[in-house]
Amino acid sequence: MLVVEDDARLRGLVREALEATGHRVTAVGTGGDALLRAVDGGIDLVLLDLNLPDVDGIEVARRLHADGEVPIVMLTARGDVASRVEGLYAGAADYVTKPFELQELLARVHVRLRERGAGEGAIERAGLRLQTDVRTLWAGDAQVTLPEREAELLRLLLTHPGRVFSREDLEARLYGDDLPDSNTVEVFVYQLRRRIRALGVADPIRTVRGKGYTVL
Amino acid sequence: MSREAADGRAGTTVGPGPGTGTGQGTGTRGRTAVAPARARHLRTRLGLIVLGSLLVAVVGTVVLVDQLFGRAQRASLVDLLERDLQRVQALVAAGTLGADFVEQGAGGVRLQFVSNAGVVLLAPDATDPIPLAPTPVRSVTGERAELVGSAAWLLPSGLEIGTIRMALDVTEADADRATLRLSLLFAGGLLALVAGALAWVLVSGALRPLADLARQAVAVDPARPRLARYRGPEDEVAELARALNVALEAIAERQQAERDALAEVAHELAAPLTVVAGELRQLASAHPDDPRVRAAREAADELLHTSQDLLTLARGELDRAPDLSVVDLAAVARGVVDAYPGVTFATDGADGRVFAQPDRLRQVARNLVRNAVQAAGAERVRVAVEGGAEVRLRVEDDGPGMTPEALARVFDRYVSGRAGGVGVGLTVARRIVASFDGRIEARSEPGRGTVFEVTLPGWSSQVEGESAEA
Repeated sequence: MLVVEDDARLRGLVREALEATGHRVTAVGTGGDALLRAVDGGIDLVLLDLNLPDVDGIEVARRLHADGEVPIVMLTARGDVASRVEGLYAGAADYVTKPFELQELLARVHVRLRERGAGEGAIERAGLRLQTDVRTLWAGDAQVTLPEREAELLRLLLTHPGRVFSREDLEARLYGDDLPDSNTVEVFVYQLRRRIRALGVADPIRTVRGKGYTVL
Repeated sequence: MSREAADGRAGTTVGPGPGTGTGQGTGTRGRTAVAPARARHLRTRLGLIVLGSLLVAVVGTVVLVDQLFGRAQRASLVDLLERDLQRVQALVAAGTLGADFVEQGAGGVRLQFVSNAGVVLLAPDATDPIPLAPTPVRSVTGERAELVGSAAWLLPSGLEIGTIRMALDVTEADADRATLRLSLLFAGGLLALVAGALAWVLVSGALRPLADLARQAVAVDPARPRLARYRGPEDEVAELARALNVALEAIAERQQAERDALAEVAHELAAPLTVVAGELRQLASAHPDDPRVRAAREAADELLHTSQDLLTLARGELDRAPDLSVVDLAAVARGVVDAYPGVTFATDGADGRVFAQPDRLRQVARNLVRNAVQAAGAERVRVAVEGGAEVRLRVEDDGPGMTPEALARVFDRYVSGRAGGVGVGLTVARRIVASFDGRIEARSEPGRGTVFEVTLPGWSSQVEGESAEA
């Protein structure tokens, strides 16, 4: 696990707390160091301060994200909606606003790690099994191969049960910086639902009025 | 206390709506009622002024025209009468006019020959004598109006034996004049009405941007002033709009500066606060029996939470909460209550799940519970959650309660009910609740405690299944 935080005391506190819960932690104070360490690999989660002395945290996130599928949890004192969305576009999986309670941070980290574990190989939920590496969706013996973005959409929904993904949120996660036309997410959801129903099972995707989509 | 008793009390409700900011309900409503009424009044007034002054002008013109026309009409009639009289006089004096002429009684003209002794001679209508009028005068008898004139009755010998009197019927001329007067009045009145209506319409049009501005000014959220939009010609109203925007901009700048400063302070405090609270928590779990460590930990937590509240306010925008997930409000409330020994917790066991951000929801519950504990002491605070299509969190205390004035301002920023409090906890709670499409209500009476009730839409009421999409 990589902790990137310029405040030495906070960095120490977070590292100790993570180590106390059994993680191996590398802690650095600059964006440059973070990118250097990331090259070595073997990282399953990055805790990233947005406000770094050398490289902007968003930029670090963007480069880390471009290198691989490591979940990034942003730490920030800003926390406004605009910078949160910016973080999402840069590839952040979650956002923790400073000041925070240690347990809050640990809880988020565990959720992200669990999702990452769940996201590898196959996810099973609601009578569906999604084989992420080959993008194959199974319902009993029936199967269908999903287009890349629909598979990613379904993976997000299945690995975050109960979480509502807004349209903007999904756009940021599915497209990163190249924004699609306004209704593409709806089209994906519609097609995904059609394919799921064609497998002969109930569609687990729920529309939350005015808020987005979720799987319960 | 019973639910009914609580409901009967003075209450204040704040929920999501056009202005979910800190705009205080009552004040805003009061202003809304006044401004547009004024605008309409001005419009009517201007319309009436135009109508009134045009009517006066029309009446004046009609009177003038009537007088001039009357005078001209009379002059020509007098002229006619005198010429006829002279002709008759000349004919009589020449001896070429006989009684047969008189009896013909040309249309509308009466001619009488009156002797010096006053006896009407040579006239078919001798019973209806024409008065003597050396200069022509009007003579009205009954319905008939006549112009009357007279001339000397001379014999060919030059002897004056009486007067020739002539009466010209002017009833028709009078009627003409009356018709003219009426047509003028009618046309003028119509013109005035049309002009008045036109003025009303034009003024309405001119005032619409003004009324629009007034509406926008009333709707300005004092927490987040948005510039007024102006659509209309470059006139005084445009100037007013610019002036209003200059003021709004100054306010917005000032508020942004305050927010920036607050965010800056919070940012500086964020890391050390996190460290202090985190280290103290670990210290407290290592020394669970040391009251000093526990007190320090609680103080640090409180500092942390207060600065989280301040940051929430400083960020300003919480219209729509991001990152929603299904959260059990009962579980959240129970977790908060656990940190306040003495506070009781109850739930009806119904589904208490809502769409929210867990940490923000915890902030709401914590702020309400903390507020109640500070007002009444933990032993007198009860927390309850009711599930269902609407999920309710109720925090009741038997504390000193609030006056209606205090209650009306309870959600206002920096208004604290107690000494030493910052007064942001309830403001933050309200904002967060509104960002989850919920509402928060407060009921209180002095001496009878206070109830805060948060209502959020239950998760199931917001979800559409596949049937709705098909």
